[in-house]
Amino acid sequence: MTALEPAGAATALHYPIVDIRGLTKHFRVGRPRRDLVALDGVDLAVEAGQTTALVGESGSGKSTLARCLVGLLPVTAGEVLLDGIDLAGLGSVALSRTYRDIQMVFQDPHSSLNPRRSVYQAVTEPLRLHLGLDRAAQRARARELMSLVGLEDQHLERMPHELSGGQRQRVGIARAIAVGPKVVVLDEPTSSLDVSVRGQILDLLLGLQQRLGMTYLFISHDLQAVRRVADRVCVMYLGSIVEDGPADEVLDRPRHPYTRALMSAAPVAEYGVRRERLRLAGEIPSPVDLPAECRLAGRCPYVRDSCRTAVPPLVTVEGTHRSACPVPLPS
Amino acid sequence: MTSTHAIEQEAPAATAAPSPILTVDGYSGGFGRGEDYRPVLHEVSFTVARGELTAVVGETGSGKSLTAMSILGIQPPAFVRTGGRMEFAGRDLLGCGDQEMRTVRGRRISMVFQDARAALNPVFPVGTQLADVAKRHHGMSRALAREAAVEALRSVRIPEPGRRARQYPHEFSGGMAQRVMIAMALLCEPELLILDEPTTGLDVTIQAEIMDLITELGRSRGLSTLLITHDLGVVAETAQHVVVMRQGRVVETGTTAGLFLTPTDSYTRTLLAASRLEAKS
Amino acid sequence: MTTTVAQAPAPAAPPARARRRARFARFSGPLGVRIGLAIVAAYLLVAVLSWFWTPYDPLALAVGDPYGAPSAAHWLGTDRLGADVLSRLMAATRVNLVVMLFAVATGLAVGTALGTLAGYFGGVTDTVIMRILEVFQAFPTLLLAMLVVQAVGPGTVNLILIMAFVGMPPYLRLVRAEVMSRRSWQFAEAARMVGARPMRVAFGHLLPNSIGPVLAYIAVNAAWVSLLTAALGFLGLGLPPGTPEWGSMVARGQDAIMTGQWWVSFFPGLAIVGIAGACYLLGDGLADFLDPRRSS
Repeated sequence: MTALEPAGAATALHYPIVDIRGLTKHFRVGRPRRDLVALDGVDLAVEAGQTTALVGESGSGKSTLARCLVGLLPVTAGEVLLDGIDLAGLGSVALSRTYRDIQMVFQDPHSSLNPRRSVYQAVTEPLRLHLGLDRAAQRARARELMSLVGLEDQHLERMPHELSGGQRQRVGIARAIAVGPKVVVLDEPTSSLDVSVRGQILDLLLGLQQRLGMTYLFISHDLQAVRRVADRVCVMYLGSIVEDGPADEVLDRPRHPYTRALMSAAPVAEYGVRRERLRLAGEIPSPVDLPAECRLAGRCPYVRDSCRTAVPPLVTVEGTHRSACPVPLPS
Repeated sequence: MTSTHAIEQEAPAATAAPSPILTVDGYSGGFGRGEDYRPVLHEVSFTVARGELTAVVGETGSGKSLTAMSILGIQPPAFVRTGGRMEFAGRDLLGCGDQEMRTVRGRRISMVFQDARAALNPVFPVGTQLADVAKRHHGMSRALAREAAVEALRSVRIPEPGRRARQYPHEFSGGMAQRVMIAMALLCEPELLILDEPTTGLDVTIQAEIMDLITELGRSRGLSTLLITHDLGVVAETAQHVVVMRQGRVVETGTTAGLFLTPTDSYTRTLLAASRLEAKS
Repeated sequence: MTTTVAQAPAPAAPPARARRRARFARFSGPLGVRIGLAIVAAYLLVAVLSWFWTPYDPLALAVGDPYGAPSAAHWLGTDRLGADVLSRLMAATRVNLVVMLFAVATGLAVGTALGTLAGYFGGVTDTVIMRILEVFQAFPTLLLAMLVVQAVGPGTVNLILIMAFVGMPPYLRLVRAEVMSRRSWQFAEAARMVGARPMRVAFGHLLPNSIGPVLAYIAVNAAWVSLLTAALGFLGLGLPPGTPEWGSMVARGQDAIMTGQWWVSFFPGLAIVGIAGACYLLGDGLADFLDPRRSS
């Protein structure tokens, strides 16, 4: 193994390999045209060598953030720094070059593989286009990748429809790590898999991270999976980060009412565990023409008048744990 | 089945527990014919007790949805039954004709599917679709059916039911659409409600509210419910009885407490372990 | 890290060659497809043969009596000018098949390319391509073809280009719709990240997955081109006068049908019906053949 090994000792250092500053994304929707605010000035630093989880429900903007980060969506405003280089300003050629450093594993293993290309073609295309390897080197690397993701050489000749969901996701992972990226964005990598396969894929991802020293941005609504893989957790609601901090702190001692509501709603496969439910009123509002108040003000049981005067900023709770709720909640 | 037997069924013996509302016994079948025959269900047996929620749990390919569809006789036409029987309130479901099946389906057994918005007709207001069901099942007048529709929306805790009844399916979120489907199922006042992955694809907070609603409706109306799901977390919180299926076979049945605390089958244990992930060390 | 996979192994994959053979076996399987293949093969054989040999010179006049009935000397009879119908029919098969094959190929290539561009890039590219297309589609097809033929003059190459031009819009629309619906598929995004430039994503990844319905339409288009070519020929347009062509042969015999010399128009008419029918028969099987997901 050569190019797949971590790049020097960079992984040992703690520094934000991805630094997102004031990332804003608007979509123009409807007639008359109005701005749908998908991301509202998000700041996010992803530590090198760690797994940062981005948690939220549909409409939270977590998938939009992932697509802006890797340049699949143009940003409206803000910076996306990867190792100090702003990806948001790059043209398609320069952007394509950065895909040697940042890669993505997609949610749906059914539609993320080209149904007309064999596994071999899927995993060697990045080797050919990014690294310009010759045929022999491609074949050798393809075999190596298969063993890394727990598949066998014979799977290289298969077509996607001949594989199970878990196997397809392994191929998706092999394709993402083929060029030895520093950062891998995992967009709900287990949400369309069976439970018994979910654990295997998460373990595979953890093992690969240990071995290759990659940085993960793990996007999920599955709190169980997040607990399994994450070092840090960022909770998103309606285009903003409402809480972030070390995984155990955010998941065990959530500070923001939304995080608490999310945690208390997630079902646990234990008998007789009665959870204290924190219920939010109604449903997530449409992100069009949002007023300048706490995004949760309309649904929160702890709402105060002060919540409605401005969007509350993230404030430090303890150490690196931050929350965007100034109201003291019962513990 | 003799007629005397049927009478016995209607007056359950005071000594034993009340007879189950649904009995599936040795139900087997597969796809294809002759050499191409591929069995998918093997001797599936379980019961649904009156007034309780029974969950059928399994992963992709376990045959759980196929079993549920067979209860209503809406299995894919290519499916060939090779054996077994299904009994609903003492009546043989597989032996009865199309006409009889139609009166059972909808009127006495209702089903709610995973994709609620696809199950609603996009060109009619939601209230109209509910009122149609009320008219068909209870022979109500138009005005009464209209009222019943609004009332049904209120019963599944949809805010402003009068206004929402005039809206079209695309104006409903996934969670709200699923409430509408439950309201529609309940309008028929069924004795058995089958829920096929009712919260798959919904956000957790929405899922929790839908499951709360289902539990509460079951309790207040004494409804017998069959829940098809892949999520053991949902089962732990809502079901009284659990049936675990794998590759077309029932591998374990039991009370929820028994299954979660002392699982006997190795697959059940695997499934439980996979549902409870450890934190990153 | 564990390298074992605790998943049920997928069925053993057949090697690519066996898979192709299996697909061909299925393609040639249904009776309709086999009949279609046989007819097209027969036409091709006749077309090739006519290059080297015809009973008489197809361009020669008065090789027999005018309106001679089918006989041992003239199997399909002779026409008004005493030309041998069989010889002319064989030569016409060559002419018509050449027009059909090249027109279909050109229309397919141009329509598919423009459709892929419009579908993948959208926006201004799409608007410009589609508005231009709509202007041409506003004319009835036959009328448009006639106008262009009159403008550019007769000739095989001109005819091919005109047939390709008027036959191209459905290809464009089909490909555009398919590519658009797949543009948001994750494998298109994945291809971008793998290092593929937009053109490669569009033509290397999206087009192959969008081409199925288009290829099935080829057969319909081929039948339509044959019919339109014959229609123009019947009206005396498209090819230089006297060129053996099915439509013009039908026209040459139309007066004689009333007086009982049916063979002059009947055999070229049959040839037109035969090729159109064979194309439709093939169309159904083609769609199955081209979809890799149907092979399991």
